[in-house]
Amino acid sequence: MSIEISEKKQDGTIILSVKGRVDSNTSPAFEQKIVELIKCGEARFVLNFEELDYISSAGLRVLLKAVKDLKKSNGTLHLCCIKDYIKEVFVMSGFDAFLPIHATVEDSLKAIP
Amino acid sequence: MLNNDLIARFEARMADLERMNEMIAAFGEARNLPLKTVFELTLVLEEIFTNIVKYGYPANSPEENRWVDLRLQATPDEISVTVEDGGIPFNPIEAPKPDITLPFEERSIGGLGVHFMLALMDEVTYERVLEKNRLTLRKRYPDGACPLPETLQ
Repeated sequence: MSIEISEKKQDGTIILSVKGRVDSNTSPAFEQKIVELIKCGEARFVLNFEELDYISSAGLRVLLKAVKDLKKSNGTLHLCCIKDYIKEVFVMSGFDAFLPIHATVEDSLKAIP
Repeated sequence: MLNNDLIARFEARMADLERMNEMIAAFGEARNLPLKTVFELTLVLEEIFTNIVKYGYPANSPEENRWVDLRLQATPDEISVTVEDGGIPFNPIEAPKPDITLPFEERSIGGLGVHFMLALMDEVTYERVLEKNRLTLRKRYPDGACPLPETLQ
């Protein structure tokens, strides 16, 4: 029951691979990572959820805050490689309206201007 | 079926969420429940649990008086869940609904947990019983899934 986040940068875009669970207990670590990167001036993000097993509204709160913060710097945040049952959380919450979801990392990078 | 129920009391604080998650996972695994059902159940119960921890008890209530009781029962057709707490009377079914069509600038996270519960469960009932909040949930398995081993049916 934990979270692991790994980070790399490709063509000016930060790719964060999130492994494990984003719930009420692990979301602070997730939030801290994204907040730090935004503070450092990063504005283009792809979150690779291939190994994400679980997300609750605590995780959605972090993403909503990130999208709001990124708007100030004309930044953008895309998601990819989401398991079907987790995608349902994004659809059910309406978050898929402002968080583009792609099938692969490459598709996400192509979609980010 | 009685011997197959999960009955547990948790402390109403975030540190006990992981223990609840582990018990739900073990419950699902032992009964071979569909993964999607276990995911949805875990999600809904985290949202309920978190709401109780954050808002359920008065700020001045002593820690030892803050609890959440959980009961899970799996039948061949569905899971039924009872969650009780001894906190402030609160009927989540009547709580304000989030507008999920708003642009993100106007969105907040409030109310999403209850929204998930109502969207994912087949039946949700609230009662105030003996100074306790009691939520009763029912969730049918996806079509065709009959996950329990024969000995439990």
